Amino acid sequence: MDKEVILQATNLSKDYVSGPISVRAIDSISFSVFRGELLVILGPSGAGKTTLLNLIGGMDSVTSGDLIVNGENIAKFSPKQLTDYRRNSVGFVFQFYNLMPNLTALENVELASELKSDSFTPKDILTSLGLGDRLDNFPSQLSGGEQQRVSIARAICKNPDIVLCDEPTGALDYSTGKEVLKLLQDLCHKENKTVIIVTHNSALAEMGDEVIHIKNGQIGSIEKNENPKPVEEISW
Amino acid sequence: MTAFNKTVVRMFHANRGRFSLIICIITVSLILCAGLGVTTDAIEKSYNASLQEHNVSDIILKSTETTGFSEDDISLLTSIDNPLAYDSYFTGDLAVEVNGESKNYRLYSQDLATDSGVNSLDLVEGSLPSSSSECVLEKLNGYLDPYEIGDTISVMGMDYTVSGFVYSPLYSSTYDEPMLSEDLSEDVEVSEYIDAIIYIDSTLNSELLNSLLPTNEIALRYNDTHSVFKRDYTHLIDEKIASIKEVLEGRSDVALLTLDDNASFAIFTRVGHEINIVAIILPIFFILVCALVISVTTSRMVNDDRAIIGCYNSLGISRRQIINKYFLFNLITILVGGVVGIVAGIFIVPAILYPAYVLIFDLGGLMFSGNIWLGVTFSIALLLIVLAICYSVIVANLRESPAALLQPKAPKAGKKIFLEKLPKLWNKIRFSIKSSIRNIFRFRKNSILTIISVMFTGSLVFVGFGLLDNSLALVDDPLYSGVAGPMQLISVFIVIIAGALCVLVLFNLVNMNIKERTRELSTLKVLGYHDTECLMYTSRETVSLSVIGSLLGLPLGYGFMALIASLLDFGSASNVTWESYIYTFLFMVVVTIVVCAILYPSIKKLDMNESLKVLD
Repeated sequence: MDKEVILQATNLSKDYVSGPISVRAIDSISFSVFRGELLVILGPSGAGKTTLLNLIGGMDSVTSGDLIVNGENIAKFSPKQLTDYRRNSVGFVFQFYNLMPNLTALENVELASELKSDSFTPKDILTSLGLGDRLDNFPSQLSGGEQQRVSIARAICKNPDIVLCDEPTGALDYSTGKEVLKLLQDLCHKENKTVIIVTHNSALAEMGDEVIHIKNGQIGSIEKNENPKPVEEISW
Repeated sequence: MTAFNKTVVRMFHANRGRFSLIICIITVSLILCAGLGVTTDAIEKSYNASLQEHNVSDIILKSTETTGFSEDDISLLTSIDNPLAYDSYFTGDLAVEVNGESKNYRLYSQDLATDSGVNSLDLVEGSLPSSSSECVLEKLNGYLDPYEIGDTISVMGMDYTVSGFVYSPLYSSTYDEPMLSEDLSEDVEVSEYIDAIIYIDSTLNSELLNSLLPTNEIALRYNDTHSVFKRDYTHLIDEKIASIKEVLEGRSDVALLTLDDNASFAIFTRVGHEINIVAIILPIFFILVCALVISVTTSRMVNDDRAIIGCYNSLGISRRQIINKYFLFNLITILVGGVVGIVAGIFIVPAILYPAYVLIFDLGGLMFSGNIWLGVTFSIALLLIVLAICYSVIVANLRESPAALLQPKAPKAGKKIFLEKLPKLWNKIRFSIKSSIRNIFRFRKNSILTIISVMFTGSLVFVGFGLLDNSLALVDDPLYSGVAGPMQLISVFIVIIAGALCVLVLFNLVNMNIKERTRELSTLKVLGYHDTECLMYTSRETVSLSVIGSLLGLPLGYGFMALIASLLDFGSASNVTWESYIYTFLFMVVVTIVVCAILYPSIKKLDMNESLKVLD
């Protein structure tokens, strides 16, 4: 069966200009991602992976090159268009969850679902993630893993084209981290969602359908895993 | 410079927004404090200059006998304690019928050609009388009938042609000149006012007329060094009065009048007195608001710096040094704001209020007063209050161990609030609004301080409007009309200063709110919330708190107004019109919304990467 390209980066570059100094954080990167794939972006800190994530997530403007998501070149988008792109097409999972401390788990998911008319029902999503009995709890009453699951629920309830995860296990213990990764992998393989995980943990390379190694703002290598390992089988 | 001192210097840079806002708040308040403090002094100087320039008399002796003073009396009374100058003449108030209307004239018959050196007349228009059938009139002053040069005026069966207008320092305001009762010894309620003041030249009069107009008033001038508003002057005049009374021992045919008996002078003193009370009461409110706002800002700043304070503490930097760092911040803001405010205030405020006085009083040019003790006193009081609060906030923070301080404060947990016990109501509310309501309760302390700040600034705006209402209500009251003019301008000025203070205070509050919500806001932006929606997220809270604060500010302002009215003996809180309540409320709410809108670019500029950062 033909796979559909959901994301295509061509000669993508990003410069940060501060006075007379210009720093090239991303240097002419090209790659593509298919719908329903799990992409792992690996690299040491400072390599430019967060910058790449910001560009894909529409949180920062592209300096040059093309970035086509679901047929549209977001590199040419205005700030307003980028906001609508984030609103409609991207789900975000943060390292530190970034839940609103004064909203319950359910309300935190509603915060995102309210933005889009074809969102899933927040209650159903949370229930499917095993949080059915935690709906009315505030973030401070939830464990780290539970908070990250709320954050994932918030990301996917909008039914986005891409789910972006920035070090999703960074603040979690080993086993909880694995649970969360399993959830993300299932999202791809069972729900046909496109998930991009940014991490410095090279052990996660084995779980991805595609792995991009970033080094000094450039692509070191791109690997394709024909048979990605289930999360249960990897360890670090 | 030591590294610690570098952190002190950089604190100013890092907090430059707060730093400049607080300086502005202090400057604005001290413009009012210092400015109102010098206004009476500056205007008094101007008035005194004008009175002295025209050699105003210090003491006037009036004969109560129809025959007036004898030659012997005159030489006796004009030689007591060697006055600098004196003059003796006839004056009398006459009720006359003009075209069927009853008019009150005051007639002076004196040597107009020679300047006696007392109550020197200034010819302001036309010429002095050149024959016995001409007269000059006191220059038109609102309450006087509008005669013109060439008009004929009949007095005691004689027709006089008006040849010019003169100015006498005895009639130095537009305040109605009361008619003197026939019997000076009796204290009669004044109900009649003078319609024209007529001067005829006694050297041109027929002997017959002069015999009918005997010398019945002696004007004496003793002072030419002291300001008539200073205690030295009162002492000097009291001595002279004592000497004169000694000479007049046992006589009942002479009445003694001082400047205090002059209607213009009396009303001027009264206005000055009222302004002085306002100048002391209002700054107290302004300084309290300032102290409140600065304390709120400092305590939030110290709380933001928790980890830094913990770090200093763990490095072994002494408590005193840490406290000094924040003391210095407040000291410098108050010093800069204080100096700028005082200097600006003593020049700006008298200049703004001077025109209101000039409409009523004949002042000289505006004089400068360097009497800054009120401004300095208020600055010192402000400094002491702020340092005391700053000290207690830091000490409370230092009570925790360095280890605890280095840990970020656990984010305040969300909590269910009482409204949620009413699910029927609660479930109907959109959760973005629920979130705002919960935040208000979650940051209870900040919410209460925001409400109080808005409440107090709002009450100052209300007092300004209230004073304006009262001065407008009193314009038609002859007893108060002298006070009404300057008070009107002062109240407009207070409204403007209080309004500016409101803008700054709300700006500070909204700004702090956005700063403290950076993480929440940047997360919302990543989720795809539009900038306007993020603005709504923060401003909803501020606007609701501001609405509550503004509403509570109205009764508080009513209380302030009642207090001021009772201290001033001027107007009352019940004179405040309903429009003033609405204007105050609308003003506060509109300012809040405008300030939120002004801060929109800072939300727009907010870096979304803040949401990815490690919790700090």
